[in-house]
Amino acid sequence: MFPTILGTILVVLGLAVAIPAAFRAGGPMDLRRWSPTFVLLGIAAFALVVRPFGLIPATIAVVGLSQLAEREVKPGRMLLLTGFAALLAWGIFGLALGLPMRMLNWPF
Amino acid sequence: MDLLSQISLGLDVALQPVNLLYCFVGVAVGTVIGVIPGVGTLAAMSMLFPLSFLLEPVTGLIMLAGIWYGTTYGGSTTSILLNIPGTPANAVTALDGYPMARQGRGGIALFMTTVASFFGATFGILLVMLFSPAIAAYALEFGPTEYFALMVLGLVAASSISGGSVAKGLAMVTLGIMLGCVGIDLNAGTPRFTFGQPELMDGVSLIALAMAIFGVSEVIMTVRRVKATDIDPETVRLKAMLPSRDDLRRSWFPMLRGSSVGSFFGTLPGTGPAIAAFVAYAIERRLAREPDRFGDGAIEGIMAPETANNAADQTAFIPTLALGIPGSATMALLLGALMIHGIVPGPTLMQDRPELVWGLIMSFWVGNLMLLVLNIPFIGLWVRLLTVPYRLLYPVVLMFICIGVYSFANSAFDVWQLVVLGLMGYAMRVFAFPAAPMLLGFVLGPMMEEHFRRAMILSRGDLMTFVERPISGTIIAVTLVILLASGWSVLRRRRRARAA
Repeated sequence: MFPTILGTILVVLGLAVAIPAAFRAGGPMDLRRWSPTFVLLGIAAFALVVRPFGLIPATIAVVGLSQLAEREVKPGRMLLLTGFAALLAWGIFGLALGLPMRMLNWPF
Repeated sequence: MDLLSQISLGLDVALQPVNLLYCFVGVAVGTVIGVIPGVGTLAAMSMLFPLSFLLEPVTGLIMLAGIWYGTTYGGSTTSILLNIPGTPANAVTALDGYPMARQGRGGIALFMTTVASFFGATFGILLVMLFSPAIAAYALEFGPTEYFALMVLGLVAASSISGGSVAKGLAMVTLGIMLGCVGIDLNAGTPRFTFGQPELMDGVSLIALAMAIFGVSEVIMTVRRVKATDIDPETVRLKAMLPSRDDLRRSWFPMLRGSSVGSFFGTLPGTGPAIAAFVAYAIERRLAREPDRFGDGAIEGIMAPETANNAADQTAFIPTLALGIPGSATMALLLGALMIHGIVPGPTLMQDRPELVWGLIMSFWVGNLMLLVLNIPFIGLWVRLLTVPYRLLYPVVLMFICIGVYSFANSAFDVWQLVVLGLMGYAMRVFAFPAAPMLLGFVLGPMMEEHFRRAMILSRGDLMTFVERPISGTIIAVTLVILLASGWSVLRRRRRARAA
């Protein structure tokens, strides 16, 4: 019953947003292509890697990939930051907090 | 228990070394985050959110709360020195703070806003101590019907007052409540909205949702846009910070007025520190004998908003602690942290867990004192942080977000939720759908449903019970008035825009 009520309210509100908008001139949409793609790809890579390979490779995946969202990509600087982030993750979550998760793993 | 014994109980908790440590961690992180533009309060809180589960509930809360009021201290720094508000609550401070910095009075502005922040926070904490117990005691009489009505009021007010489209705000609240329905239905035991995925039985992850709509979408929006800036270190020397007697004389009344305005707006759902600061500034300007000085480096123009936003930060805890009804997304996140520890927020919280509530309240004193000490001598250091370019910052922020989400349940599925919800969060930003109401709805949703069902059982399925019972009827009436008033103001704004 509760979700049905919510759904009904949402339909009404959706119409309240959509109908007036159809009679109004809108500005151009500020949709970005590469920033969301690389940021989300980085997170997805973390999700894929973290179980089989451990935290450090997953960190490298997310930090490495998400840097491609920046306008200019300089490989040297990228490697440096990725390495630093991996060390930071290991230091904080492995050494200092001692989270119960694998840091490095080779599943094969 | 009387007030004095509650205070000493709270102090006992707040002064335990581990709580002192995490209070320090919270306020320090908050200050840093407040200084750095492009990383918001909520993103910071959700990054440290998982850490709070490794701690005792009260310690975790103390830390999270410290981040919240710490950012308001830090945020004024960038407003003054760079004309870039660190958080929305500090935006008005830039109006007079930045001109002061350009006149070479930046050090004084920084010093005085820290004093103002402390003053406002003190005022707010006193109100929290005085009013929360009384309100909680009154609310103990409430049944499920009244509670449901109160939650509806809170959600409607929070989503329609804060500005922007009313319909969009309400839609986000509703969507948030629906996201809260995902998972096993607690009464019937049937899975809802799980699409056959066993991982979704436990529902949508609060951490993934919070980090996605506040952290990930913020990163996506900010990448490529902010540039690092250079600041003259001379302006932030300690010697240049001492205010003149004239500055002090001009600051008293703005601080007092700012505290009252801030405390009032802090308790209301949907308004919070940003609106409090704005109103406080407007009032000072209207009351000023020489309103022309405003916008040109008037010290009243930084004192009033900086007291107001800090007072509002503190009084926001009154409805949260006394009623279990959060007025903003930050407060919702704090309650979420409580609930994950299995603690049910509500008016009984103050009776059942006085050590938790009073420990938290007394930690505000500790935290604000720490902030006072942290801010004045270390302003130079915080300022140097601003020169760290965003391109180095955001990949590390994303890393913390990913590890935070993953570490909570060691679940890669939660990280996948982050991807999907992050995409949704970005779309919400692009199409101007507010994110805060959604988180509020998500946290309150399950409690609302529970109260709704109980009310229905009590009334034998008669929906009129919400209108017929006097307290709940009054609350529903107030809700309708807010809805009509905000709907009307939207119409009027549109008509004026068309006429122009």
